[in-house]
Amino acid sequence: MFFTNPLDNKLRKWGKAKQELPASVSAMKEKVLASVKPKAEPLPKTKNRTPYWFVLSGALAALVLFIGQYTLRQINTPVADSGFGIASQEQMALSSKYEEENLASDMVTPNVTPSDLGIQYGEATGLGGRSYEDSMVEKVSNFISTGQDRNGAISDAREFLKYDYSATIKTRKVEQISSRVQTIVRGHGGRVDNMYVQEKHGYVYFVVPKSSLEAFKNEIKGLVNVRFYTESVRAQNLLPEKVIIEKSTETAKESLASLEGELAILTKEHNTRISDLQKQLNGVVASINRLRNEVTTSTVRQEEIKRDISRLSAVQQKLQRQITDENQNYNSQKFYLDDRIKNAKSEISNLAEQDQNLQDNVETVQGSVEVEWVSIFEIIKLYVPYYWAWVLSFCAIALAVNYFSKRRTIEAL
Amino acid sequence: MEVSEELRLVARAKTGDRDALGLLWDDLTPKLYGYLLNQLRQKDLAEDITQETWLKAINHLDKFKDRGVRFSAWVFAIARNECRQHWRGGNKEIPVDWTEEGADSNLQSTHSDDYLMIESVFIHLSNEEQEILRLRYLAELSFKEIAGILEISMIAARVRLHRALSRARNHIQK
Repeated sequence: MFFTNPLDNKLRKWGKAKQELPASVSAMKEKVLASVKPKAEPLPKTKNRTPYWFVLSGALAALVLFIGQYTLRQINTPVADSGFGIASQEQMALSSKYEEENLASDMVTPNVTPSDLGIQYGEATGLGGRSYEDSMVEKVSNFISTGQDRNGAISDAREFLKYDYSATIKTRKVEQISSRVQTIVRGHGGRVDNMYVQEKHGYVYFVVPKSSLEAFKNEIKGLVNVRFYTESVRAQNLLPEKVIIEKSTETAKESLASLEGELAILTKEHNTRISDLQKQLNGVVASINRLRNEVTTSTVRQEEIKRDISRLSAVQQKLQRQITDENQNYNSQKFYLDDRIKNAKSEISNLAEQDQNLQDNVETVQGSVEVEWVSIFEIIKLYVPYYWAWVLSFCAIALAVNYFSKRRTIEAL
Repeated sequence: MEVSEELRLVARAKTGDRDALGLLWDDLTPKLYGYLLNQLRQKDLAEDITQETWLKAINHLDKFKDRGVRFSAWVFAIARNECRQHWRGGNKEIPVDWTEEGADSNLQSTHSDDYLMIESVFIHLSNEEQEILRLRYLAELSFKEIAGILEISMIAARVRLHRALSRARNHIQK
């Protein structure tokens, strides 16, 4: 019959059925309503005019912020991406430093949105808790301030560095170099995840073992002249994730040990109780049998025996009922504890799997190599910085020489 | 009660209108007391906390602002906080003994199979799962309101309810 209606409907009916009024509802209502104090109608608030200078300063601050952000974005954008040439090593270093700083700040201050922590709700209700310690603001402050702990204590010097590698190669032979990059990846025991090659552009996404990163980098670097190669290696310590997994595992193991202890105590107590009851039951059964086997011709004694057997049978039934109740109670509690133990074991197993995944992740390097076709002008630019200045100077000199030579010819005539 | 009607009554109650507050009381108290009784399993305590909740709500009524949160949800948030305060104040949270005879007089008075089945399923759910079922079906709150009260995201509230229902179904099928 449970499946004729959806559970949702049953729960709705259950919820309705559970709604009830307290026994002393009238007295309580009177008391509550008596606490209401009549108030005067609040006067309409005078409209606050925002000062003109305030708007102006706000706009100015917004402008400064916008310019600041724009400048940072400019720093973060590698020159190579803007199509004006290859990024210099300094520019790449500056860019990666900025990225690392951003990454670090993300790690220290977790990505917390107010709605996630109920701040909006706290604001709306005005009741975060009875005291400041209970308020969501305090909780959020604590959460942010303890964010450092999530990254591991400062004394914890372990490193679980996850490396990311990326390189850009400029060449006139895009297809050939792309193909060689794939061969090198496979040669180092890596795996090509994604690849795209066109006449003038190509890229290869891959994963290689961390142990062969240095050798791999050197081999890729050797494909072209150093001027046509730029690389960026980024490392992130996965210690926070490791610490979380370790702490969770520790908690889960403690919980499991506690539950197993509870189960052992429960079983021991149950066995003791059952044993006691069984002993009593055996005694009663023995007494009944003794009385039944007694042979007597006295009618008075026969009446006595009958009465005793009846009384003992009642005791026997009571004891049997107690044993049944005890068994039922034990089974119900054991089922509950077994279920929780199963969950705790499953959690420990999941955490072990997460730990293994983290280790595997640390032991691999994800990377990409971008192969770009390079024009003659770009090659010249790589070898001769500011070549256009040289060209202009040459033209100017040529024009000057031409002018002076013509002038001399005219003067000679 | 409609949200607009509720807000209108709250606005009147803020000016000290007892009739408006009485109407709010009539609408909310059965849910609130039912919720507290189901959670605390003690009639006296549930009555005390119901009264405390209302007194606190009235004292802080000025702080309630209509920002997409119903008054009823606000009152439930206060009630939940009151329960926490009760447990924190030396009364340790004791898991409810659902098998204890006479703990819930409703259990005796209502004998429908569905009702008993739901009560028996509750035994196998965690406190968190019981709480979300109470807030959803007994307090009749929306996911947004439940999320606000439990201080989780709306998606997390949906997921938690879905899991609680799945576990309940599994226990029923056993």
